[in-house]
Amino acid sequence: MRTNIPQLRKARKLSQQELADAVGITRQTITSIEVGRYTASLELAYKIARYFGLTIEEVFDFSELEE
Amino acid sequence: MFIKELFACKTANVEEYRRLVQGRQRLLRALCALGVLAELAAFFAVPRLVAAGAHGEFCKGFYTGVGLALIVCGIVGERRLAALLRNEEKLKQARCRDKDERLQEINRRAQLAAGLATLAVLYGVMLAGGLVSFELLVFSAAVVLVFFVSFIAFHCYYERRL
Repeated sequence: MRTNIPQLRKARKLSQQELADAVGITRQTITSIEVGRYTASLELAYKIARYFGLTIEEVFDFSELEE
Repeated sequence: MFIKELFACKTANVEEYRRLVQGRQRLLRALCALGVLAELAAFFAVPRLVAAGAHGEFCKGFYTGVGLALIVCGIVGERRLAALLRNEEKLKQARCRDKDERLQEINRRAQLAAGLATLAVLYGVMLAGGLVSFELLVFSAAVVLVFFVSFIAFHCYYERRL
């Protein structure tokens, strides 16, 4: 699944480690989500979206699921 | 219930995780005790119960090796957890790794793959080994049967839980 996390992080000058610490996961998991190798659970997606102050749809691209 | 709590991944806070780690420490101490029992069996029970010769020597070596491995793993693991409990920052990092959903998924998939590989090997042993040894055939068939029966039982259990 594609995500806007790299762009959102860069806009806020946030490292992967800082985001990982904020949502309580490892940096490797953030990397995997960013490159689309791992799809975050609903709970984690919610935590990440809430951290950025956005909705889940604004952070994660669900267009592949809609096809 | 006790084992379930020891391997629970979701802890509300660091203090709850600390108690979880302390529980794991107790489990490792129990592992050490099992190792000591295996050593005692190797030195006192095996020479009396198992016939002397190559088979008896193998059994003694096996029990000694397993016992020593359990003792060493228990001591090393327990010391590592004790060091973790003394360092607040490392404890937080360990909690983070424990509740990381991707790592949990990796563990789940690895366990599934290992389980299937073990089953495949046992099935092969059952078919090929059965030609030369009846005991091997019965043992392999029993283990494969236990796997399927426990799978069905746990499937029913989780179907009601989830």
